[in-house]
Amino acid sequence: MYDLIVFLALLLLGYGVGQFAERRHYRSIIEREAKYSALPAIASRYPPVEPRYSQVLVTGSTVVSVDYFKRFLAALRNLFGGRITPYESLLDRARRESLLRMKEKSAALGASMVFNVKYETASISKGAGNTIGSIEVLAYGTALIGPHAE
Amino acid sequence: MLISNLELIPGRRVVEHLGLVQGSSVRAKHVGRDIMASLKNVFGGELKAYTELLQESREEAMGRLQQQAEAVGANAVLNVRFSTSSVAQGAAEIYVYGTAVILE
Amino acid sequence: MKYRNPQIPEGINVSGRHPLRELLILAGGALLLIVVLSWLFGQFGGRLARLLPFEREAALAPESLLVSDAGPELQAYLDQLGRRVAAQMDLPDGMQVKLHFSGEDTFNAFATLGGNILLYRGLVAQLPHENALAMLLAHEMTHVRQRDPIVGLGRGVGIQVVVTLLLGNPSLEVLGNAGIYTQLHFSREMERTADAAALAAVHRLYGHVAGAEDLFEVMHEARENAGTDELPAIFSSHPLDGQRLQAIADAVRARGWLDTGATTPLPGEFSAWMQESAARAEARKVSE
Repeated sequence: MYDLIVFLALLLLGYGVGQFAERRHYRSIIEREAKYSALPAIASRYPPVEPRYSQVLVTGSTVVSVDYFKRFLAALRNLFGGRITPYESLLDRARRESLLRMKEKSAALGASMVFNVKYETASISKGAGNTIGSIEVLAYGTALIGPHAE
Repeated sequence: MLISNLELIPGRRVVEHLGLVQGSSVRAKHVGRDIMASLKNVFGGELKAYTELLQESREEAMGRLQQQAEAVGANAVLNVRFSTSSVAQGAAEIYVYGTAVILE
Repeated sequence: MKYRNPQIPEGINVSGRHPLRELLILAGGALLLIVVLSWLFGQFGGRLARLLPFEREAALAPESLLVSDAGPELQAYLDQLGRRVAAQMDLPDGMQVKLHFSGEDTFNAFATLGGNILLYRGLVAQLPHENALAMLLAHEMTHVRQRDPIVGLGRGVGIQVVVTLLLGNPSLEVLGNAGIYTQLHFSREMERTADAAALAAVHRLYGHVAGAEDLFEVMHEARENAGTDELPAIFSSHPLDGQRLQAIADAVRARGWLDTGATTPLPGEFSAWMQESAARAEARKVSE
């Protein structure tokens, strides 16, 4: 009886705090994306040859962790199959945040573009048993600073 | 919409680069497939159910990629890369990303 | 060559489904699945367990629990009362009932595998007369006759199988309780049958059922004195005390039985026997 109550309390806490944190994060992300829209991130491998730029490797990474509510929903999904919707927003946020951090670093260096942007996702601890799981997303690319006159 | 993992399309010129677009999909198998897979662990062979699951996931991710590209006004996505990662027990995330471009 | 980053609209990589709605649908579906499968597997396990012959059950009985703190006179009295009750109960051939008595203060009595019944001093010493004791013996003997102990074990195993198969994921353990509550429903059914059959046996033995409900009155009083609240019926392995008393009243009315009559008193030395068994229990505990 008591473990049911504890479980419900944790679930409620996870939901409440998790949803609040997520909405706040999304607002911040959208605001910063608007701010950095002048600094394009391109996945192409061939930067413009003329004019010349100097290059720096830049990275941005984020580690997000799963809250209790999302983990429970995902476990239920494992019974029935289908899209794990709580994780979709989690990973979306992590990726966009990593890209923004990379852009922030590039902007700090005075870059005008970031090229050859790639992503890496790694699961830090899968959350076996009752431990919390966390996921790291890394975005990296080459910041092009310039242009320099020949 | 042209979706390609080539960098340059021979005979077509890129007019404008519109940045990174991505599509992702996180799916779980259901418990029936799980039990069958455990049996396959004993007998061996291709896990057809999982293959199907990941294929569906990839198609969904590609669909979302295309949706994003259309939303920014591109007519092609170049330099497409796939990435599969395990994000939790029993769930795999598939995402696809590439550069949205306007080809002439 | 132009390089731009136009804004990408929200909601493409994220499904718009509200988490709470999803939780309700999924959790509801999961609970339904578990309750239905637990019921099925429980029934199956019970049926399978019943196939085990009674003679073999004895080997599985928990020997360490079946203590004997009764002095020779108490044991003889219990055995003769037990024989008189068993004679009214239609036990099948080959089914033997063995009565054990523990001098411990626990307020309980139960039937376990192999026809073994354990009575605790904590409950028996509170009974006011022989009719209540006969009702208790008849109730436990009905469990033996119905093979409830082994069937209960089989059902428990069946439900464990379901819970393990479906809910291997530790985050979902909390749903396992749904399987257990399904099992408790079976247990209440068994108790109701035992009460009804015991009442019939007591009626055959004494010609009336006066005093039978005193067993439940004693249990109810003990619970009140202990201050423990009764769990709601759904969480308990027994029907509520009130329900059991009501069932007796209904049966008496339906069958036209006499519920008044002289109750047979317990032997005069009964309380001395109780104290003797308490001393034996102490000695046993010390020597362990």
